[in-house]
Amino acid sequence: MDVLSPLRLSLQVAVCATIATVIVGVPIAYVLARKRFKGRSILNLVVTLPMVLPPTVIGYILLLVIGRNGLLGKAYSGLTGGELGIMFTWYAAVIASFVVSLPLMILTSRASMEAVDQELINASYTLGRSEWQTFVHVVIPLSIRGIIAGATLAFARAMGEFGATMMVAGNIAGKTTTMPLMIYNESIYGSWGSALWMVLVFVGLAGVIIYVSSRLSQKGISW
Amino acid sequence: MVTGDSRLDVHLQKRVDGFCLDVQWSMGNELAVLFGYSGSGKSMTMRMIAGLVRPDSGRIVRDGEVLYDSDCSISVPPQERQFGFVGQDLALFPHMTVAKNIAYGLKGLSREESHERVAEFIRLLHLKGLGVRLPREISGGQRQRVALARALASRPKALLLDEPFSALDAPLKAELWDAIRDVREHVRIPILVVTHDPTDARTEADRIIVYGAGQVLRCGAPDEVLCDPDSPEVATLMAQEYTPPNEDPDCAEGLHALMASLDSQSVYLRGAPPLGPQSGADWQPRLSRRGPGAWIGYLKRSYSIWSKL
Repeated sequence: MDVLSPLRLSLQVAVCATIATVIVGVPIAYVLARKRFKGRSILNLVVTLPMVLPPTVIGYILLLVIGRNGLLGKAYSGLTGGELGIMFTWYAAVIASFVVSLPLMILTSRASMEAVDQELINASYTLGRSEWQTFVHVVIPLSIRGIIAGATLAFARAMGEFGATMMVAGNIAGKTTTMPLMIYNESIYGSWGSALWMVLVFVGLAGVIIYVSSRLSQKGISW
Repeated sequence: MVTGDSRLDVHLQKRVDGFCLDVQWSMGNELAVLFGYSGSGKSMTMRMIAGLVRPDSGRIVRDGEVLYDSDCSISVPPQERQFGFVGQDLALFPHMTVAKNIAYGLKGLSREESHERVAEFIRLLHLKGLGVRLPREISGGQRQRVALARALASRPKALLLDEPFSALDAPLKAELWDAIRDVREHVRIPILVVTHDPTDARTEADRIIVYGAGQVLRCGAPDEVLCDPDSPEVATLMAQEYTPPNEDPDCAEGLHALMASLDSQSVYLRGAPPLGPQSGADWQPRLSRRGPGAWIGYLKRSYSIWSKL
């Protein structure tokens, strides 16, 4: 049994998905934390929804978007000429992991951004700094622990993603079979020994992630 | 580093949760103190001048430059108003060293110029050796001076200090006033300070702007305001300075003897004015204003006692 290949794929998918959640999630968290605008509650609902929806529902919605006839799927097919679009590629696994882990990133970093004292932001403005400069030089550094904690949780969630990934990326050995899918395969076919090894790797990894995350959250902002 | 004559004209109106602020005043190249009870709208005025709170209507003009005008829909963002602003809690960036805090507002300068400017204000505000420390590693008084240095380093056109003394004990307060006096010698720009300490207002200001219930009650040089308070509220505010303890012990008894009631139209006084060695015709009963929260009292020259109805 090749354990390294699904482990490598899982790490690859989780790292890409985590980078995407940071790039997309941090600005959304900032907007939700510090802006008052029409549609704020709708945006909040949309980005939080994947946390409570069953993975199969998310997978179904993703099929509509990135499937052969979906908006993104068509665009991808147009660019690459592939018949199935993004479906059944490791990119699809990244998209699935990104969607399910985004709420964790947003909720955690949003909480830390809300904790940044408004007076510090006002001070930055009166010192002539733009909103973007204030975001980069004041808000991000002061909420960095929350952002790191959010990224850690998002990484953990992306590593463990199963349902939505199976629906959009399939379970193709050596191509889209991530660790959770491999554990599923091994269990189904009664290879308990190899499944156990992968479970232990996962448990260890999850333990490290939760430890790091809780350490960062407990410390809070202690400048 | 001396700027020419400056002028700040302020006319602001703002209604918030039943509180109505409607003020109009002007100041020149001087140190003006916004003085009044807590909740009279002093800090709100400061924040509106700085551009952090939007007025409902009004006009703010500094040296002929319109910063806010509701009629012309002009509202210059706080980033472009060029005010140095120090709030009650100082708002030093906790993740930046003292030097980085001071340098934060410097834009368009080369690295060398920026270093020079920071060094200049570190020297001016006696912060030598503290440049590499974080705000939490320095004392309260030093933090105040860092906030002042940071506000001044970008060479603002006016300085706004919103109750910078509120959380300070007497020695630190004196230290900060010393720093402000030092700054006044080097930087001639309008300085507006919010305080509710009559001693500060009397001793440090070139001009006192007295606020009460969202309005300007009196505006003028400290001596003018003290000698001619012009209204019972201002007299009450300033009398704290001028009521000499034990000079007229019977006054306190007189105050207790005073009974008054108020309806929507008239005030009814019962009892006697303060009884003392000089009691009698010298004392004038005065009513601050009609309605809830009014004050009634007896006024004798600049010496008055007041009782809230």
